[in-house]
Parts: sequence; C-alpha cells; structure tokens
Amino acid sequence: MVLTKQQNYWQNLAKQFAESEVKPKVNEMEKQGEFPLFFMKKLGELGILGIGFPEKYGGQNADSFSFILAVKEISKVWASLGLSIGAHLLGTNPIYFAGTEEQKKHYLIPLVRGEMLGAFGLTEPSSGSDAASSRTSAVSVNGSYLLNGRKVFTTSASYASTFVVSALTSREKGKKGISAFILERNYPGLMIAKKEEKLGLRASDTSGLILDGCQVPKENLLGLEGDGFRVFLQTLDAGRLGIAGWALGIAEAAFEQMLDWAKKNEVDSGLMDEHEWEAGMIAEAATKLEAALLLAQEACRVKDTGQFYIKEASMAKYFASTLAVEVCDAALKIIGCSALTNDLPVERYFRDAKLGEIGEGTSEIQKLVIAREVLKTSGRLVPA
Amino acid sequence: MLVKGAGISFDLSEDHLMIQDMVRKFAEKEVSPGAGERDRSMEFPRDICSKLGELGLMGVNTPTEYGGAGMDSISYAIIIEELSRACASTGVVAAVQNTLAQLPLYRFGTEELKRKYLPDLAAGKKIGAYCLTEPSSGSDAGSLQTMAQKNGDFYFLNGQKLFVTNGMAADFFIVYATIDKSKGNKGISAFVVERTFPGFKIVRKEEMLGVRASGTAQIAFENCRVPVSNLIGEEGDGFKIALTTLDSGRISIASQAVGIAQGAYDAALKYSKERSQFGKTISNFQFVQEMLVDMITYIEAARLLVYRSSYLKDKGVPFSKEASMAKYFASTMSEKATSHALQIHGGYGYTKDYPVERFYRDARVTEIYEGTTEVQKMVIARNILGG
Ligand SMILES: Cc1cc2nc3c(=O)[nH]c(=O)nc-3n(C[C@H](O)[C@H](O)[C@H](O)COP(=O)(O)OP(=O)(O)OC[C@H]3O[C@@H](n4cnc5c(N)ncnc54)[C@H](O)[C@@H]3O)c2cc1C
Ligand SMILES: Cc1cc2nc3c(=O)[nH]c(=O)nc-3n(C[C@H](O)[C@H](O)[C@H](O)COP(=O)(O)OP(=O)(O)OC[C@H]3O[C@@H](n4cnc5c(N)ncnc54)[C@H](O)[C@@H]3O)c2cc1C
Repeated sequence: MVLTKQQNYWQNLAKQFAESEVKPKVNEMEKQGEFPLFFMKKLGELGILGIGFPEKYGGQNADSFSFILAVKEISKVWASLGLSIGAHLLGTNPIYFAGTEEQKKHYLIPLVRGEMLGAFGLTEPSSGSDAASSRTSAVSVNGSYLLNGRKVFTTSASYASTFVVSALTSREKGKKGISAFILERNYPGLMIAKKEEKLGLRASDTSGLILDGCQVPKENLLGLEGDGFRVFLQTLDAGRLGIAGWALGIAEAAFEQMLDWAKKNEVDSGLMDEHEWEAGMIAEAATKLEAALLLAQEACRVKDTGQFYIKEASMAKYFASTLAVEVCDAALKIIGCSALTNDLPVERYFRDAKLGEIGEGTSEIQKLVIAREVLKTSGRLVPA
Repeated sequence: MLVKGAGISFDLSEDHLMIQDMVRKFAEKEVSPGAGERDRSMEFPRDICSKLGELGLMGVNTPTEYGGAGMDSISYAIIIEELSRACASTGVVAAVQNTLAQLPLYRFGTEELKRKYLPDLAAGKKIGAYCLTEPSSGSDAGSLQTMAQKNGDFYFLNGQKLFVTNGMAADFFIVYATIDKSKGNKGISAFVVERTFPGFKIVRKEEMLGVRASGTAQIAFENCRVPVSNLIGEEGDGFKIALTTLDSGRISIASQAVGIAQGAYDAALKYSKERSQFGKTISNFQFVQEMLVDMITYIEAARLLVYRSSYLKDKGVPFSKEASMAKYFASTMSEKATSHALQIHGGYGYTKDYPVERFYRDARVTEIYEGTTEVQKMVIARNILGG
C-alpha cells in the first residue's frame, strides 16, 4: 500500500510510541485493569488525538487515514488503549460536528489536545442496537435541563472529564426528539454506576452512568433540540472507521504471532508436504489483511472528500472486525496450547477482538446498514 | 425382506435417559452455580469430584470389580456432555479422571496396580492426572524426553511435563517416559507416580484462557523414585497405551465440546426470547434466527458423531477414525456456536454478567488438547487413504 508522507509520519510516530513507551507496560496494566490515563495524555501531547482536527481547534489538520493508521499501530500493541482513543473521539466528534464556537473553545480544544478525556453515552439498558429508543429524558427548567435516566457501557466513564449523552427533549417526536448534551463530570446528579467485568479489554473502563435529575446548563445543549440523532449517526460513522483501525491492529498483532511461530517451526521449508494447512491459514489472513486495509483507506478517502461515507465506514468496520476474530482464531490454532496461556499475548488478542463485532453497531447492524445503502444506490458499488 | 426401522436407532435407552436426567439435575444444582466463580478464582472443583465419585460418575467405564460403574461409552459421553454444559472445567476434570487416568490402568495394568489405584479414583476419593505433553513434545508424543532409568527396585524419572490437567489437585499421575531414547516410540513406557514420591515437583499452575478451574499444572521429575511395580504393562508399551487412551479421550473431548455448545445455545435461545430491540424480541430477526439454527443443527450433528463413535467402541470394533471425526467436528462446531451465543447477547455477552463469555473461552481448548484439529485431520486422512 502506498502511503503519503503525512500518513507515513503519523503511522511511524504512533508505532514508535507504542513500541517504546506503551509495550513495556501492557502486560502488567492489562492484568491489573489499570486505566491508561497517563498514555491518553501523552497521545494528546504527541498530537495523535488531534490528527484529524483543524489547527484552530488544536488539531494537526491531517487526513482521516493518518488517524486510522495511528489507531491501528497503538491497538496492535494494546487494544485497551486503542479503544480508549476510540471512545475519546466519540466524546469529541459531536462537539466538532455540532458545537458552537463557544463550546468548541471550552471543550473541543482541550479534548483535541488530550487535556480532557471524553466519553460518549448513547447505549441504555433497553436501547442498544435500537439507539433511537432512548428513554433518558431532558426537561427544561429555569435555564437548565434536568436529565433523568441510565446509560450502560460508557467507555472511560470512570475517568472522563466530559460526556456527550443523548436524551429525549420530546417524547412524542421519536428520533426527532433526541437531543445531545455535553455533561461535565462534576455536575450534580451525575453518578458513575457499576463497572463491567469483561471478556477482554480489562484496562479499558466500561461503566454505567446514572442521571438523577442531573442539572445541565442550557448552553450545553449540542446543536438544536432534536438534532441529537443526526449528530450521533455522524459520530458513529467516524467511530466505525476508528474501530476498523482498532480491529486491524489486533489482527496484525495476531498475524505476526502466527508468522513468528511459523518461522520458528520452519513452515517455509516444508510448505507443500507437511504444512499446507498452516500455509492456507497464513495466506488467507495475509490476503484479507490487505483487503481490510484497502477498505478502510477507501472509506477515509470518501470521508475526506466531504461526501457521505456511511456504507464505506460500515463495510470497513464489518470486514476488519470479522477478520480480527478470524485471525486470532487461526493464530490460536496454529500455535497450539502455548497460545492459550498468558505466556503469549495471543489469548489476550483473542479476548479483545470479539468486541469489534459488537461495539458501535454489531455486525448484524452493519450488514443492515450496508444493504440499505447498497439498495439505495440500486446496487452500484462504485459510482458510475 | 426389509423391516422398517430395523438396524438403526436414534433413541437413547431407558437407562441412558435416566443417567442423563440424573446428571443434568446434579449439574444444575451442584455444578452450575459456582462455575463463574471457579473460572475467576481458578479453584479446582474438589468437592464436586467427591460428589461425582459418590454418584458413580468418576469411574464410569471402569469395571465394577475395581470400584467402577462398568457403564457403556454412550453413558460416559452423556455424562461428560451434561457436566460440560454447566461447567467446561468440571467436564474436563471428570474426563481426565475417568479416561486418561483410569483407562491405562484397567486396560494395561497388573492386578496389583488395579487394586491399588482404581477403587479410590473411581470413588473420587483420589484425583488422577495424565502426563504426556512436554515443552518440546506436543502433537509429536513419540519425541518425548523424560527419562526413566532402572536401578534395583526403582525407576528414576527425570524431565518436565506441561499442561497436566488436574495436576494441581491430583494424587496419582500416569507418566510417560522413555527408557531408551534411541528406541523412539518403542522406548516409551508408562508409570503410575504418586504425588508423595520423592523427586516429584509441581512447578506452577498454568493461567489459561479457558477451563481455568481444571487445575492445569507444570510438573517436574527430579530423580523421582518410582517402584518397579508401578510400571504399566511392559517396558516399551507406553506409546501403544498412550494412543489407545487418546482414542477414548477424543470421545470425551468431543462430548465436552458438545456440552459447551449446548450450554451456550441454551443461554442464547433464552436471551433471544427475552431481549427486545426495535419493538420486538430479537428472536424475530432473521440474522439471530440464522445463528440459532446454525448452532442447534451443528450441535445435533456433532452429538450423533459422538454417539456413533461411542457405539463402535462398545461394540469392540475400530473407532479411531470415528472418534477423530467426532472430535474434529464437535470442537470446530463448539467454537462457532459459542461465538454466535456471545454475539446474540450483544454488549452483555462481552461481560461476565452472563455465562456465554466463559463458554466462548472454554470452547477454544477443545480444538487443541488430546490432539489438535490438524492431528485429527491427519488421523482421518490416514484412515481413508490407508498407509
Ligand atoms: C466494551 C464495550 C464498550 C462500549 N462502549 C460504548 C460507549 O462508549 N458508548 C455507548 O454508547 N455504547 C457503548 N457500548 C455499547 C454498544 O455499542 C452496544 O453494546 C451495541 O450497540 C449493541 O447493543 P446491545 O448490547 O444492547 O445489543 P442488542 O441491541 O440487544 O443486540 C443483541 C443481538 O441482537 C441483534 N440485533 C439487534 N437488532 C437486530 C436487528 N434489527 N436485526 C438483526 N439482529 C439484530 C444484535 O446484532 C445482537 O446480536 C459498548 C459496549 C461494549 C461491550
Ligand atoms: C488446557 C489444556 C489441558 C491439557 N491437558 C493435558 C493433559 O492432561 N495431559 C497431557 O499430556 N497434555 C495435556 N495438554 C496438552 C495437549 O494435549 C497438547 O497441547 C496438544 O497435544 C498439542 O500439542 P502442542 O500444544 O505442543 O502443539 P504442537 O504439537 O506444537 O502443535 C502446534 C501446531 O502444529 C500443528 N501440528 C503439529 N504436528 C503436525 C503435523 N505433523 N502436521 C500438521 N500439523 C501439525 C498442530 O495442529 C498445531 O496447530 C493440555 C493442553 C491444554 C491447553
């Protein structure tokens, strides 16, 4: 794959940082479930959190693929850190997309610089794939909104300084009644609920939010009342690209373990007579890794032209996250039982990867989105 | 004259159904409740082993004269499936206890060894383990390095064993070692080693992705002193004993894989009927139905392969190919089924609030132990191609 100078720069910077500073800490921090707050600050200082944002908001003004490559390199070393970046972006992008200049100055700039940590609360106990069925309510009282409801699975909630959350300003209007708000951690009535114990990504924090008459100043409404759903969909498009990069990082990491094993066991010297099974798995993974990266690159290209890239983002996310699970699986198989112990990182990759098929829209939802988009354009994948 | 329905039966006998019902109830009451906690703490299910022993489920195929239950292989497959459906660790613990630890003794041991070791194992009073795998010898068991040197009334064992299921809790170990490396497979011999023998050492507990409560250990022998009478069969019989044991062991693991998948399927089916999105239960969505349909179709096919190989084993005819087919099919099926089950649970499936994430981790090892999938394919290929 040919990269631009800019893309090379960000990829290398992220890689160097991940290899030299993050890697030595991963095993211990992941085992202890220690949140990588320190590294998030560092990523802000390095500019990595701001790759895709304009300079006037503290960003680096670089292209989308530069960012995806950086996320990939970091996730390759530590998926929990990669996911923290993803969640931070979910908590940052809505402000960039819909915020006033005042909100941008106050929140966006410190978020882009990594001085604040962002989180995103959309999912609720009874509203997951069906994000439009949100039940959290927002009632306007004396220059404030009072929010009541519960959020679940809010990544980084226990450490975030700001939260972008959805709430209904009008129950009758359905989707069009959903609004977006910026909440600060110390607002009265905002509480952090139970932290989830998970299959993987133990150092990433996944907690609930309880909004019990949480008082939010009027100025913290994002966009207009009823704009929320549109803003969230736009946020998720960008987020899905991030998950594609994240999943690709895990897939590449598992692939490298496979290759290490194959080299150690001299698979290449007996490809045809003794090792065709392994050769098949390696070839399949290598081919799909290239394809997945190309899908992500294409989605980034479309995004940067300013057009809709819903289909492209979903395809990139769906393909890369399926692939990550597949490659981890193949790595476990090829390497055998030593890969099942925590002496090797493969079992961690395997546990982490599965989230890609669930978070920011399950694979089933991606398929529905892709089908809807493809049918809309009468099935033409490439614009005529 | 063809008689309708003759020659093939898909019905379990009354006895089999009774055993199934008994073990299912036991598993629901005694095994399932602590499974999540044992997975977390990696605590070996020692109490459950005792209870299984009291029920006659720790020496299922072991002859009654040595304290076993003397049941058939289908009963055994049913038992391992039902235990694994509740807790895969308990499933493999029981499988190793039943087959890997006792079969070498009741098939190849002297009368003295049988009397000495089998009754306590079959009663669940003592725990057994099986030591074949070494750091540089996994699938290729013939290349093992552990040495056994005879000196007077004792063999002295030196070497290292890995991934010994039950190892942390076991009292007796079936250990494979070579008396003469130059003899290759023909030098391999099998011994019963007691934990208290001088020179026996537990090196560490393995921390693993799945079956975390199975007490899997690394073990070292440092001039470990084993009485000559603890040799199983003759010197050089070890390889044959290992292969014979593994043929049966494959049926156990296939049963375990079916049980894990069934447990995951039960949970997913229930969840799909409770969880609503877009105004209906998710069981209404074709993508969800597709996953459920896939799961149960493959589970049932795998179970039939397990029953067939068990049936052939009981008939006393070769069943090595069929056991490998059952293990190959059931373990790959189990991985897919547990992945579907997690997926159907959405974000909740990724948490420890539901058992599916445990099933998802536990299923992986069924493709690896007692011969990897690749090794099963080799066995099947050899059988169908000859040579
Ligand atoms: C580790 C982690 C981090 C997360 N981080 C965040 C975060 O920071 N912010 C946030 O807001 N959320 C977050 N989430 C939530 C995540 O986005 C949701 O879990 C996801 O969208 C799925 O929703 P659900 O869990 O309610 O599953 P459900 O929607 O209940 O889905 C259950 C099953 O039904 C299927 N299904 C649902 N609808 C359909 C349909 N129409 N057709 C076919 N199949 C269907 C799904 O594909 C799935 O298999 C996180 C989740 C996890 C596990
Ligand atoms: C949880 C657990 C419990 C276990 N319990 C026990 C136990 O109680 N007692 C015991 O002795 N062992 C036990 N084992 C070990 C297990 O049986 C071995 O791990 C297994 O036989 C594979 O060996 P290996 O991991 O060394 O892989 P290897 O033999 O190194 O194989 C690695 C890879 O190479 C492939 N491969 C190997 N040879 C060939 C070939 N000729 N052609 C093509 N592909 C090949 C394999 O399929 C695999 O993909 C356990 C393992 C685990 C993980």
